[in-house]
Amino acid sequence: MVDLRESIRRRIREGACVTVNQLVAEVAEEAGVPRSWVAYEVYLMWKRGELNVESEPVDNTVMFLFSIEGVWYWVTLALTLASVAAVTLISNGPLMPIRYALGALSVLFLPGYALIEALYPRGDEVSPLERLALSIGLSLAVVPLVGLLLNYTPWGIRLIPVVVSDAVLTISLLTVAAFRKAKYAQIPGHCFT
Amino acid sequence: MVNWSVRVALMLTAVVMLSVVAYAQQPMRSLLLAYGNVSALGAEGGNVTGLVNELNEAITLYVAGHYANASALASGIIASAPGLAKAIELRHIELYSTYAAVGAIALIIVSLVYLKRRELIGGLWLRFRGGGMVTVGGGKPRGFITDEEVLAVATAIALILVVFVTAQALVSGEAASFSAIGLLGPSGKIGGYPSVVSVNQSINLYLLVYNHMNRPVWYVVYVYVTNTTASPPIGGEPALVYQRVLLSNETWITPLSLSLNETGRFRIVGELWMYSPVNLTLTYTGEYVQLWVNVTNYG
Repeated sequence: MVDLRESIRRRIREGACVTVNQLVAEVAEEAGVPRSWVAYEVYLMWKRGELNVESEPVDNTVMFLFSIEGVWYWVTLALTLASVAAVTLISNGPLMPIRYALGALSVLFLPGYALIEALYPRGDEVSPLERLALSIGLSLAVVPLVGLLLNYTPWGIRLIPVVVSDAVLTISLLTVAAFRKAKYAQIPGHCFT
Repeated sequence: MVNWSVRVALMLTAVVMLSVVAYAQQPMRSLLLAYGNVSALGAEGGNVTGLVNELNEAITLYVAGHYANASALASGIIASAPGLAKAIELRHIELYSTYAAVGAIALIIVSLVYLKRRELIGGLWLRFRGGGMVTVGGGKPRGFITDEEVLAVATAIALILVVFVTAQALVSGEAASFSAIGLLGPSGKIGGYPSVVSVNQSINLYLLVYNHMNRPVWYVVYVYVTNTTASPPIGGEPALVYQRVLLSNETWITPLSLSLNETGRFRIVGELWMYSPVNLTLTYTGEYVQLWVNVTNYG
């Protein structure tokens, strides 16, 4: 079987600025495999940093959020809101494991993840493992601070104020991260200049 | 394990149904048997709020001397227990079937996605990023899901969490069960306790009882007034008695009012007793509260 990765690398070295569609079609034809298989390899190579995939620059943040680049924002937002819904609506019964899982995620991961995305918006400044470790560590640092602030408010440290303030913090940081990422997406890449 | 208590409750109920006539003249006994059933059903996760309310009503009637009414209520509770036990058993079967079905479906979906990952992810990615321009990358990885190190660490964390949560779920029923009694001040909060009172002055406090036994429990609080420093249980005739069946995780706060008619230094002691749900005998929990007061002649 043809080494798909080597074929992709060779094709990239041959000529700069080829579209994903062109690259996939050529390599698939050469290797005699479905295009989706080649596309999957290109996707993995892009994730590993072997390839860059430049998109047409966006005009503003709204365009960025509604492009494929903005999917991470909506997925994380959906997870945050699902956590709020699970913690407030599920109190017993067979759905309790969902409450545990989403509750743990919203306290132990999402606030730190949103903060790291806001601090390092480009995506390749820190390695994925560092990003994971920092997300967990910063969540553990940020959530008690939220509790400290809540302690001085009329609402106190109770379930609903904690859940709401945690979600508000996460969504705020996510939105800051989205704005910063959008700025990078507005810069035209090598192939679009 | 899960159905064991339900079966015990059913057997207990069957025995009770046969002997209820014999016990009709002993309302306390029928109350205890009703309590044993309700506690067993509650331990299995049944919604016994209504039955506990009826039981508390029966206890109130019994304390007031209305034995026949108390006995009738207790009999009603005992009669309704088998139906509830069956409903709990069915609910458990439904619950475990649902878990198994959801687990199997999730496993099938994950397996299919893994087997067809190239077609699914490759197809979708090509559709949305097909127009992008490919250039040589800088070599720095991005993204969580595709990074092997991240997946390894995430799997390790998930594994530790699953083991911890499972172990906690298995032992929590025994390790975390306890009963608690507290003494609150005149405002219903901790603090502000009277230390010097005059003769016949009303001392107004609150008793707090908390049930964390993971099942409904019948608590009895004996309040003693003594000038000795003997450790509880003090024994003898208590000055006041409070009793109530509490649901699992329920807190009960009740006013405690008394006055002392002689001078001296006295200790007000509240001992927490409970009817054991297993053998239905009155047992001292080992928990008590106390307050020392000086009773003087001056107002």
